[in-house]
Amino acid sequence: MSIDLRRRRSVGDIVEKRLDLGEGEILRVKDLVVKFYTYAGVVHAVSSVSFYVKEGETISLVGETGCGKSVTTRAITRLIESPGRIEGGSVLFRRRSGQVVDLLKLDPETLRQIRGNEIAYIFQDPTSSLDPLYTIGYHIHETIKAHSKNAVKKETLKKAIDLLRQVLIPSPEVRVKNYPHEMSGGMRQRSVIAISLSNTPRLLIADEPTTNLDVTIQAQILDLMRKLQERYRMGVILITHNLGVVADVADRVYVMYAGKIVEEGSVEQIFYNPQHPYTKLLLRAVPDPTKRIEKLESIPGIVPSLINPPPGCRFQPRCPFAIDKCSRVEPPMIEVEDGHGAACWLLEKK
Amino acid sequence: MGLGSFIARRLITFIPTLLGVLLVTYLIAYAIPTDPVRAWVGEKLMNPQTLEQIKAKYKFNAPWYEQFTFLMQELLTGQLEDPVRHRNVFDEISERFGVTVEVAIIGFLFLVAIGIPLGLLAAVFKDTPLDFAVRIMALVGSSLPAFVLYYFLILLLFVNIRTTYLAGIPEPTLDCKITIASLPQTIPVIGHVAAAFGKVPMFAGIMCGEFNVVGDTFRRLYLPGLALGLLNGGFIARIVRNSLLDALSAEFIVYAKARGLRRLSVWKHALKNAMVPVVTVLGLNFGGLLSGAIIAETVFNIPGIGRYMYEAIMRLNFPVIIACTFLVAIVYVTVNLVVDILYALIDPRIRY
Repeated sequence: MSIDLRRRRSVGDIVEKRLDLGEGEILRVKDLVVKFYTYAGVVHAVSSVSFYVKEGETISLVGETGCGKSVTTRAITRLIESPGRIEGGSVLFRRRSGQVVDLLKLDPETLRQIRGNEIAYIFQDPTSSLDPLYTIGYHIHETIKAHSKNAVKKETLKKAIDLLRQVLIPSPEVRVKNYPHEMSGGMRQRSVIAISLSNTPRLLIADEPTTNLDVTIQAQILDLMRKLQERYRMGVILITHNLGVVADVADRVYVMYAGKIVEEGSVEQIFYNPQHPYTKLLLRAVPDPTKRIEKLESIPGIVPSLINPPPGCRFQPRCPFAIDKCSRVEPPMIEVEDGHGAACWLLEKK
Repeated sequence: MGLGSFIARRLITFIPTLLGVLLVTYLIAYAIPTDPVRAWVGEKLMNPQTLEQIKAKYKFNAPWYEQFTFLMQELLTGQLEDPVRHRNVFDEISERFGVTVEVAIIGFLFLVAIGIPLGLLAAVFKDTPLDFAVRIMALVGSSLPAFVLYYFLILLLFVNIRTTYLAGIPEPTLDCKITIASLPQTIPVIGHVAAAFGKVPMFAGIMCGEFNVVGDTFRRLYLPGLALGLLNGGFIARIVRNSLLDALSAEFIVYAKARGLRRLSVWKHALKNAMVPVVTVLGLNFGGLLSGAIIAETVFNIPGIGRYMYEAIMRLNFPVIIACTFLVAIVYVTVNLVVDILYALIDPRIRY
């Protein structure tokens, strides 16, 4: 009997150790693999992606359209629909109770309780995120009700008005009864933010939240998100292809290319000391409004097909600095300074 | 703008629509190079004098617009006569419309009971043999001549299994009919409405508490109802399937899941959004059934509007054709109006 007990305890210890997060971390994604089984072939949408988020911190996933940013973040709470499949990796998340769980192995009901409650999403297009047949107030009501059984409509309505006020919607008492089509685009996105904040999540995943909005509204929304993050001490994952937005709000940056993270580091490290050729070219492609532009910079070549990704480094076919090794062996993440790494063979000698 | 003014505006647009339908129908009938009076009277009984009398009455020697104006006058003043039966057309129609309403209700019940569950299943089990079977059913239902299915069902359920009978229409007792006919005298406005509904034997049975009439009606008419349901059920199932799949793939469903809604709440969003196109198609189908399923009523020997129309067409009975077309057009525009009102109730984006 005593041997059995000891054995059981030691197994438990191993499990505990595996499910451990670093100091202040609320989310750690490790070696995430997502594939889409289409008629044309298997699309390797996300290949071995790892990153982490600390409490109260904003990280940013940057990359071109179709590089796997959205799929990565949707895979965190297993929102990948068929024909997509999460094929490997782990997503450790520290719950409000302090318990650390692997979201990829969690039972569906517990996962549902985390979605929209501890991890909330804001999607790119507020118009299609909202059900056109229901009011904003109803959206907030059902989001609260899904996570607390004894929510009363009267109270959730009050909460809804309060949330709409927090996202700076004028006359929230009236707007709470509005249908999505009765609002402007900016107001809709602010409503989506209010809906997502209904249960004060610990982690907010914002998938290109400002792409479909006017530039002036963009700044408002970003400013609002920053204020709300400070108030609620949320971790934020911001997906964008807009480097201006990244410089403005992110603490740390992950640069993605063709389903992989090619460079990671703090905002300063990435912007002042980019290491990966892709990051360098991406930064050069941002036009400087103070200078007269003769010709817009672009990165020559096209994003490779993810059905048959190139062997070795995925950026190698477009890379002006590629060496022989690049097309044969995949480069590992090489650390250049504290917290700053890039997956490029050119850094190997340094 | 409110619901009242919306209905008022729509009712005004009814007038040109109805006139247009009648004019087109009349012109098509007029284009037939024949002598309708011969068809009405019959070859043997032909008496040149009577023939001329009838011709003069219906202005067959005058230009077409005078004939049309004459028909319209008679129709709108309610004096139009069935030249074959020598009775007021509206009396004939009101005797038959009740049966057609019964067939329409039973057919519609079958249509809903077959189409909606099959459509939901096909959406849930997308791309499985079940989905494929529903697709085949819709294809067969749309392309198979209706009478083939009807005779097959008669062979199967009437001749071989004998689960139904195909003659007579169950009626409520005479007492019940008299009570209902006297309703307008006892109750002012509602009495007239109730009496109109009481023209349908099934409704009269319910009003008088004679539920055996309802049961008998169903037993008599379930076969044509089933036939009509089967014929259009596949098509309805396809509409339900496609609109549900459209709704399920919408971004707001992903967002609903991302908000951690329970499965039931997620389905609520999908189903309500899928309802809009389904309501339209069901409404139009109900309109079609109410205007008399001509082939079904002929094959199943049902004395309704459909068979009246069939007989009128066979005998070039223009006045009856015009009156029946008038009825069908009214049914359609009314059903369309009801569908539009339902729309606005489901979808807040639609305002009157």
